Amino acid sequence: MIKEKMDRLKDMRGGNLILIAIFSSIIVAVMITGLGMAYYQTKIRDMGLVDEQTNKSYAQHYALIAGDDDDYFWDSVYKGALEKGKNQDVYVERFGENLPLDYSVRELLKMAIAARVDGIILKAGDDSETTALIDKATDAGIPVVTVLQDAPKSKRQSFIGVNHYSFGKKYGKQVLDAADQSFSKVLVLLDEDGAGKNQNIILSGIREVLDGAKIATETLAIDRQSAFSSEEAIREVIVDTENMPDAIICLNTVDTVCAYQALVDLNKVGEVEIIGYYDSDIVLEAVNKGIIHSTIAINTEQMGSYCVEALVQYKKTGNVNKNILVNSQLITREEGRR
Amino acid sequence: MSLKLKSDFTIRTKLVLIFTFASVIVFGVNLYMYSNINSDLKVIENVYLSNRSLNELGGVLGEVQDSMYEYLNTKSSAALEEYYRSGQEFSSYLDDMNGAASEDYASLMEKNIRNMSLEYLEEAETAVTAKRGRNIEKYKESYENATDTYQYISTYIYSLNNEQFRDNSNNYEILLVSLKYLEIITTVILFVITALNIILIMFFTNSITTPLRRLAKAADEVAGGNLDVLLADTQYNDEVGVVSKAFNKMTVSIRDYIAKLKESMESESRAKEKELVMETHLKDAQLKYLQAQINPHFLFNTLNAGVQLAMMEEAENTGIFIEKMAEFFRYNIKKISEDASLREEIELVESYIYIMNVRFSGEIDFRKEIDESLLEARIPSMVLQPIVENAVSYGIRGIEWAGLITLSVSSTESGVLIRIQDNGRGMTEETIAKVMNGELKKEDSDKNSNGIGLGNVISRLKLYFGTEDVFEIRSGGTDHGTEVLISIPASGISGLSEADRRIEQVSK
Repeated sequence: MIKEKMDRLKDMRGGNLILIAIFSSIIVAVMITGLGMAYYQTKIRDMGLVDEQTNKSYAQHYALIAGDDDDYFWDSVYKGALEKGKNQDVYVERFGENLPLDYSVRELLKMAIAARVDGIILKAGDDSETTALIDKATDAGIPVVTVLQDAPKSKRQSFIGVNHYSFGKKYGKQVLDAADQSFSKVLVLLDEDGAGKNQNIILSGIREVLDGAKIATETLAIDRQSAFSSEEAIREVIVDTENMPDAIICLNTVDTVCAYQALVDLNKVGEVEIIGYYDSDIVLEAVNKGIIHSTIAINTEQMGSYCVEALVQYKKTGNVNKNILVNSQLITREEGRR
Repeated sequence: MSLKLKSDFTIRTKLVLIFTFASVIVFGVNLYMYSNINSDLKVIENVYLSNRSLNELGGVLGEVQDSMYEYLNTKSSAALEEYYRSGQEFSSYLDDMNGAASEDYASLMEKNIRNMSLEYLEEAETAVTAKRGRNIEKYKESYENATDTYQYISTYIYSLNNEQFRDNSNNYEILLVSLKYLEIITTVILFVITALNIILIMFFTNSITTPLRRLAKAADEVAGGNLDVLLADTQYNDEVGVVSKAFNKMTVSIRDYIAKLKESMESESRAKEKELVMETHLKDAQLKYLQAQINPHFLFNTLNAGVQLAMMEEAENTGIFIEKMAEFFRYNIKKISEDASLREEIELVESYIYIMNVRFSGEIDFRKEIDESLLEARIPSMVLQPIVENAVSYGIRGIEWAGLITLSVSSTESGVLIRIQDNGRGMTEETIAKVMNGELKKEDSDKNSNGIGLGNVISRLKLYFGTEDVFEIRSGGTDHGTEVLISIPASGISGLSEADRRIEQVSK
């Protein structure tokens, strides 16, 4: 009797076991399939196959045209403009970036006009052709703001730039800060091709400060049209030990990096002070190491942000400040560490 | 599905269910995986499609440019027609293109291409119109503008194509790798699921074969003679469940049948045995009786003649004596094969004592202590007289003191107690045991006996009442008298005795 009861119990347990087995295997099957597929999906996503086409659309499309020189600077400006734009339902395109050919600013401007963008942010030139194109754009209803370099004769809506004179004075003060008794000569690296007006204002700012300290200011114009000229020119200056300046002032990032690299390569660190431009990572590192005395940076993200703000404001109100100045900031070794 | 429902499935249904279930799982997993691969392929395919359409767009744009140039160059109407046609086609392409400012660079380029193309078409239209209007200055300028834009668009298309192709190549590599992953993952999943299915199938088949094995084992036991096997009730109502239940019914009914058969055989043989014993005793008694008498009718007639003769001679005592003798013998003849009432038996004892007292001139003092209400109780005939005869012959004959025999009938809790007591020589324990076991043979030649021994009496009493302790002999030992006790069970007091009933049953 007891055995029978046991058997019966076993039977019932057997029935339940089957049910449990069915359900648990369904669950396990679903789970393992889900897990496997989830693993697969993450693997694919890691590899980037599933194109995450966010495809977020914006109400307006602005073009940022800056040419291809000094990428550090313009990357940062673009970053500021893009972030600001996204807050205002504007997408800012770094115009021409994906094209296989290097187009000039003027050609890119033509394209932007043809592409009927909603606004143009332009590093302008002072030439008449650019001015005419800016006028053509504004005539076609596309507002244009110039940035860093102005086209004052054009119908551009606004200029976002820096006070070059005070910018130059800042440079001068840094030279004084770095100077000891033996300081007698400072070399300023300039562009040969143009944008002459801004350069000259900066230079006069520097001279204003250094003349008072009886330090001679020399300039070296570098031909930007031929490739790699910057690096060669700076090297020549440093190799020439007799006429070597006590300090070199660089007005752009490329010059700054070249000067720094030349010092390191030629083992002249400490003999020549560099007052650099901009706060790219390489430059910041050099400041930290003490190879570059200090850098003066334009708040580039702010600059980009102002450009977008100016365009948005103009679009909204039909009016905007003709000149907007961006802060500049000094980065010394102590600040660089931070 | 509930347990109840499942239990009602037949094996066939169960098997079908298992295999369907297993197939569905594997099928589902495969389906899911193929859909995954397909969606991945679709991503690639989409980009390739856009590549192709971009190439077509570039082709049509070239046609527009060529036909415009041709028209401006030759002013041929065929070229104009071609220009309008290709312009129309080009426009239709543009309608499908993205016009929104999008984060995605490809979409953004598409927008730029679209807008530049619209600009280009306007410029081209202006050029063509100016050519018609012979505005040489204007059409030349517009043509140059259009050509510039044309080149920009071509660059853009080329660039976008390039970008997409690069992406596609990347994606293709990734897809290859991901397909490898998918292969491994799919294999693992299918492997696990197959293992699960096997376990599941084992469970199921177990649920089918376990009752079968149990059934086979039970059948073996039954074959080995053990009919007390009862299969556990399976909760399955499948084929095996049905067979199990039938098996259970079969064993139960076989068991019942065998039990009935055994019982009826037993009772039959018991009855036959009893009948035989009874018959033997009757035969024995009758034989003894026949030996003891010679033509009783002649004896009665003779005795009756003697009674009449005594009356005529006015010898009253002699008359009574002879009459009692006649009664005694008549009773003997009549009653030997039947049972009798206690009253008849006691009357017989009285006749016997009277005869004996006449014979031995009043030596025996016989006393009765009788509950009159019990006198109708039935007992086998010729029981009391042989006992009293024994008390006379072996108890009080030849003793120095006055002999006394007491007969008492009283009711007890369990029935009626008959006690015959004498104050004679008594019996040793040994003799009592011998008498009780029937080992003491009475001498047949005893001239004072009517021929029925104690052994016979005891046997008949036991048979009649169907119990062993109906008869008891007690004695205080030599010279301390003997006491015989007959306990009649209550069931034997009136009507048919138990033994009679049993015998009747058997003979039916």
